[in-house]
Amino acid sequence: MIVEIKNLVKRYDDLIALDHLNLEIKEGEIFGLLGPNGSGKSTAINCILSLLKYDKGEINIFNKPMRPNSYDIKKDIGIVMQNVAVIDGLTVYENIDYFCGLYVTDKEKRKKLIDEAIDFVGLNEFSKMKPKKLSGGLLRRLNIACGIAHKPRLIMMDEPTVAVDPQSRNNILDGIKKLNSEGATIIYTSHYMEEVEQLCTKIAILDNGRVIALGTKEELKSLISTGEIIVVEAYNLTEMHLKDIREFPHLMDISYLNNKLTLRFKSDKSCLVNIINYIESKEIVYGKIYSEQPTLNDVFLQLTGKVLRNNV
Amino acid sequence: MFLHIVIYKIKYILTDKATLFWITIFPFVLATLFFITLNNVSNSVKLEKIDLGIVRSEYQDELIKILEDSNMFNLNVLSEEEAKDSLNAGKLVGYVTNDENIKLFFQSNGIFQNISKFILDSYIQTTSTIQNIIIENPDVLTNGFFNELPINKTYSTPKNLLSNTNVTVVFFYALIGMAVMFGASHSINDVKLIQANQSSTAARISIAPINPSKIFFYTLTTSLVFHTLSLWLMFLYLNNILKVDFGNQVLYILVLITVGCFTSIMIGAFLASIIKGSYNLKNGVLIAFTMLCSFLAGMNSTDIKMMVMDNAKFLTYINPVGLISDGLYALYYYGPGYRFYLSLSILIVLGILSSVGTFFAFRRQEYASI
Repeated sequence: MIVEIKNLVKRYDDLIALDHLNLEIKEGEIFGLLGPNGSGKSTAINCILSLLKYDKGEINIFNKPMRPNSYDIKKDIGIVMQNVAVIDGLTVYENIDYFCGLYVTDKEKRKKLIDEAIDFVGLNEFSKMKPKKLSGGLLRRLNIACGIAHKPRLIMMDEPTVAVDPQSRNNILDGIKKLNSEGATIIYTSHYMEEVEQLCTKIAILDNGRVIALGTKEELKSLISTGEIIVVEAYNLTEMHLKDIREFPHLMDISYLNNKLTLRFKSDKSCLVNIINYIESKEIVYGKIYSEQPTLNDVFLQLTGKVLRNNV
Repeated sequence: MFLHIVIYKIKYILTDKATLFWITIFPFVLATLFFITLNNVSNSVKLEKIDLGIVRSEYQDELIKILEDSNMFNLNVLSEEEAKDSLNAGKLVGYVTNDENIKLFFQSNGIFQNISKFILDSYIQTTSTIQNIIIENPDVLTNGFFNELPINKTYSTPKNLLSNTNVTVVFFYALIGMAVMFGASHSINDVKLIQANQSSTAARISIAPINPSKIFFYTLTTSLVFHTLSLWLMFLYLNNILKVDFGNQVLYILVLITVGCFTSIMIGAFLASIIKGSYNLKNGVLIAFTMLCSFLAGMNSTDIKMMVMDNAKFLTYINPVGLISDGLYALYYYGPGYRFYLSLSILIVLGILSSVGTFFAFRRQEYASI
């Protein structure tokens, strides 16, 4: 086990940020911590890193208890902060060298690692530039390079793609997969469910400091009753039509609003063909028609009764 | 590791233009402005010798001797007509006739006329007193009475053993004291770099496999060396280029500056470690502290320094700017004696106390919130 968290409790006065949190992260996983803002993701990361005091519980990393002075553990951990953590006065190269130098003292070895890190995040042509001159996306890449240059076994990434443009985001996600393929275990926190779905081999959904669901994305989706969702842009639907549709097998929920018909089915069997056949047989005028599988947001919605994030 | 951190700390200082300017360059600018301003003040009150005429008479020799001894006059012995002409032409401030009575003639009133009158009055008063004594008791001429009479004795002597007196240097002492205290800002930056709740960069450093206290010690040492060297440079600039007269105790001055830098860096570290607030708050408190210390040390007015000494003497013993300023003052006027070593010792004690306080503030520091 790379990380083992048992009954972790962290309070901020009356607010319980982590409520008996239990997690086990195995070597080679990309472990996603998914939850809305304030669910306890960053607090969990900071406790794991011994940056924060916690009230109760136990944290083991590499099968050893993690303490603020566990330097033998810390040397194999890398962190990519939610906020960019670099030194403004130093260039891209110097920043990576400075942080890498806290882990690797051998100058030759360090130079090789820095070059690899710069290559990895694609900052070769910016290596002599200072952070202030970099765009938001490039700055995020520098932030990642500073955290991973020393080739850690365990990398914690706390919302590394916040405020990043789509192109840089894709580069970052590809980079994370590459790091994992090279052997690093990754703990990835985000409130972007698409990223977590795309990246993570195992996911814990957090709410109010507790794990409300844990497993692979398929396992999580199987926890909820919602199956296929079919959306039809349909015009002039009558009550009679809606009554007929309600008779479809496995239909769980139906809504028709602003010419948009949304159908949620219980089973994971596709009902798309049946719907199309019905619409055509009744000569209903329709525009777009598409089918969706449930997302982690649906999982979160069903488990907690609220959406994962408002700005999807 | 030590070298790695030291090199990057120096790079950090040299690239942080705001800090570099306010801590290192600004004192040079201020010193130059002080020099220009105080030099003008000093020149404007420079005392020149007074051009005074002495009208020829049979009693002139004694009067000329007395006035020459005062070393305040350019004396011109001439006839009364010539004296009048010279006075009218503005070549003389006044002239003196010495017939039965001594008389002083001016054309206008001013500081030079007043000085001349004061000295002549003093002469007339003394000679008149002696004449009266002789008339009353002629024996005094033969019994050596006047040898024992302290007619020309000076009761107050400026005790300037080592150099010339120049009151404007007091302002430079306070300026050096203030510049030394600016070093505290270096410490705030150093503290910021290891307090995980202050910045993400600090959090990143805190999770590195090295004791943050070690990093703090290395960066603080670098700050101390850098600040001391820049203060030495500032002193040499004042002493050798601006030619501000600091006396001839250069080595002791450099020691005092070094100790002062140690104290300021440690006070900065201590305050930054105990103030629970943002970087800007800490910086604000420290700037206010430095300004207050400088004010009380007499940087704005020497009267304030005197007022503090008269009314709240203990403040002079805990004010680091005052201690540096006073140490320099003591060196200038008395040399490396008790007063200098007292200032130096108190600075060392303040520095050590701050170090101990900082150590306890950082000991096993973990954060309740980040």
